[in-house]
Amino acid sequence: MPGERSLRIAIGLFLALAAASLIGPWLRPFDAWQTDWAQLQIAPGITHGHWLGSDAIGRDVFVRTLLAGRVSLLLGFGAGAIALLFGLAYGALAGTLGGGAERLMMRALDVVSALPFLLIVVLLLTLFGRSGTLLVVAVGAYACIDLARMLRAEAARLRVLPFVQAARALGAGPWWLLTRHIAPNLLGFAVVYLSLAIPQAILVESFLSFLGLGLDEPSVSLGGLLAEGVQELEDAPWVLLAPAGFLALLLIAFTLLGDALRARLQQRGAA
Amino acid sequence: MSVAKLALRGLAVRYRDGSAVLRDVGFDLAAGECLAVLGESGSGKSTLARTVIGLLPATAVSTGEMRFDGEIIGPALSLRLRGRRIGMVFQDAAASLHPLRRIGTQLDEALRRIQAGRTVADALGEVGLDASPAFAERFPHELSGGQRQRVMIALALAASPDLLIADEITSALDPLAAHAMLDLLARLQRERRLTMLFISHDLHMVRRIADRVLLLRHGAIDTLVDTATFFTTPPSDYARLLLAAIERGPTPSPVAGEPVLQVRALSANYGNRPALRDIDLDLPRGGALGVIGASGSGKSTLARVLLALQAGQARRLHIAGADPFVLSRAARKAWRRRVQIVFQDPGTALDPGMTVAETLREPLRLHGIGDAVTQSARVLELLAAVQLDATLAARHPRQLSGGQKQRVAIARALALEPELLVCDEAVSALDLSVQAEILALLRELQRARGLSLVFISHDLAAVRALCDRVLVLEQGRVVEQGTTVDVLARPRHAHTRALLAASA
Repeated sequence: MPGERSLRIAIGLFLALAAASLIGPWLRPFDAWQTDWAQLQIAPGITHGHWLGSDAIGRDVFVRTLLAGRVSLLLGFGAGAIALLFGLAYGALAGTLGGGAERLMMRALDVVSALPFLLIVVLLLTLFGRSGTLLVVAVGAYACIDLARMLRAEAARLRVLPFVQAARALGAGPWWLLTRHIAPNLLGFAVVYLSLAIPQAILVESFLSFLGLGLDEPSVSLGGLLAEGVQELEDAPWVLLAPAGFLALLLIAFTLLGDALRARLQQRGAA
Repeated sequence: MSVAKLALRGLAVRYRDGSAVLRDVGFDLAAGECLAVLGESGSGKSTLARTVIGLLPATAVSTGEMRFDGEIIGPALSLRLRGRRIGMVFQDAAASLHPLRRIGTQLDEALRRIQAGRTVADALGEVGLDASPAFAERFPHELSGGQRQRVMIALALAASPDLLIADEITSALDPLAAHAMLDLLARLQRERRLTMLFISHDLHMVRRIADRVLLLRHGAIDTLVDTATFFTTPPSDYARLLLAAIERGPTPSPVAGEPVLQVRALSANYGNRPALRDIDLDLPRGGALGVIGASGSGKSTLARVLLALQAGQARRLHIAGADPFVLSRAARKAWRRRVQIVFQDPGTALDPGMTVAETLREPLRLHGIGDAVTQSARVLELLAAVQLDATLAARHPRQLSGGQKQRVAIARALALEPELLVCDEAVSALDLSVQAEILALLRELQRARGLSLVFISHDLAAVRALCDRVLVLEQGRVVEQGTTVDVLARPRHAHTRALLAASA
């Protein structure tokens, strides 16, 4: 099956990154906030124990990068789960109902999506403090708008197909159609979209953290590390390159995964 | 004897995964001759067309010899031949035209590249289309299926090819449009001395246009004879089977009894435009009503209203004992057990994510009939009723053939023991021999269960064999109705006569 190999590569890369961020930090004798006074801003190497070097105040870059990766992954999947839950429910419901209810629901979505998202997130974070939960919910809500739109269109396409019409003729109401026929057939589509939305969420979080609006200290996230790394770019480029590399690999893994899943879905649709 | 226009010797095509699509196909096609390639789905007829014009997918390998005007042509047909000496028209004209460009522009491009002097108006006029500049300004979506198909033919003819390959070009058209299309092809063949490879699964079309018939079965030649012989003394068992499939048995005699369907002055819309106006119809219990008409005549809208899938206004609406539009929600759900529908396209009739057993259990669960054990038993009963093997119960739709899917769709409709079954073009998308089987099944179900049928179709032969009465629709109005024998033997309305002439 074409796409089989790229799917395997994507899953392999993704699992490797996830495993590294879960297990990696325990492999080293440092924690993320511990200062190694003897080894300030040391270059990457094996002998001194800081595999990817240390930053200006002697913290281990390897451990901090992987811990930040863990935070980013959690955040991405949290936001993805929220987007999937609400986007699927909203889009599938609108598409199944059709008519005036559908129009009303979609216009409401248009209004929400016309609001400047980043500005609102910044505002919320300033007002309520920089909490991880808030960030996850905000980014998830944002992703859920696009997902709901796409799933609405797909649900509307399914709604007029004979198998859905046949179920209506058998006496099925909107709830039955939604849960038995429409939503199950949207799931593949939604998962493919999520493989694009999750890296998007990770990127948004990194962006916010980079601006200093992300998670509060002492939490570390990739964006926060990037912001720190930029400060030391001239003296210790590894402090920037390590989290940047991890972020790049993570985004590549998701992109490959999305492509491979989409190919699979199309193939199943064609068969 | 002169050199054959197209000569094939020992042509074989197989896919990389090992499956053979064509085996040892060979024939000569004389200049000006029309050879029909006949076969059911999967017989390799489209592969044959694609091999000749050099459009096989990269995963296919062809061997054997092809000569055009005595000259060997390889698997990668040179551009000198494709589109110039050999033209091709596909079934799906909508997908073959550029959707965002005016048809005049598309024709102009083709004409300009090859042939100076001919104008877009000439080209449109030749294929029987409006030659005015206003028509050339239209986009493909502003044309009917038949008109699009004509534009495709005009495009294929722009280069004045010697050989025209027509792949199922009438299959997507209603009988009137298909009939007109055949007239056009016959005229073009005469005027341009075109050699034609006419690929079709429709015996009526083949009989009308072809000089010789090549019958393909599982990728090999079953029969190759002249058309008259093929239809009078079919030379093989398979040919006899196909011919038997269009001789569909005697028309049932009219049934009398209490009405299961009584409709007075029914009107309904399709989107925002009126699709049905002032329809009256009657059907006694146990009878079968054939609804015929060209595409766009409102046939499918009628089916949807009878199933209460869309709204309609009527002075009197009596469908299986009730007017569904005045019933409460609960009463309407109960009413739905009495009226069921089978749709045209078996490909989308079943939920792709559900197994056959789940599909058949759905109506029982919806109406809370029985427990898990009795439901499973009922699924097996239903499969037996539509003559399907019980082992298919665990399969998903993609693992079934078109005919099997349609049988499952019928079984699902029967699960609630309806009084009235509406079949909306339920056999039109199936192969001929499968059509005959499904029609026999419907007849059997009608006899065994006293089922009443509304059979919507543009296939008059099927209507004749199944229905004791007929209703003819034209642009949303009933132009004629009566017993099948009367209407089809002595049509009073001009539209009925045109429909009859088109499918004789």
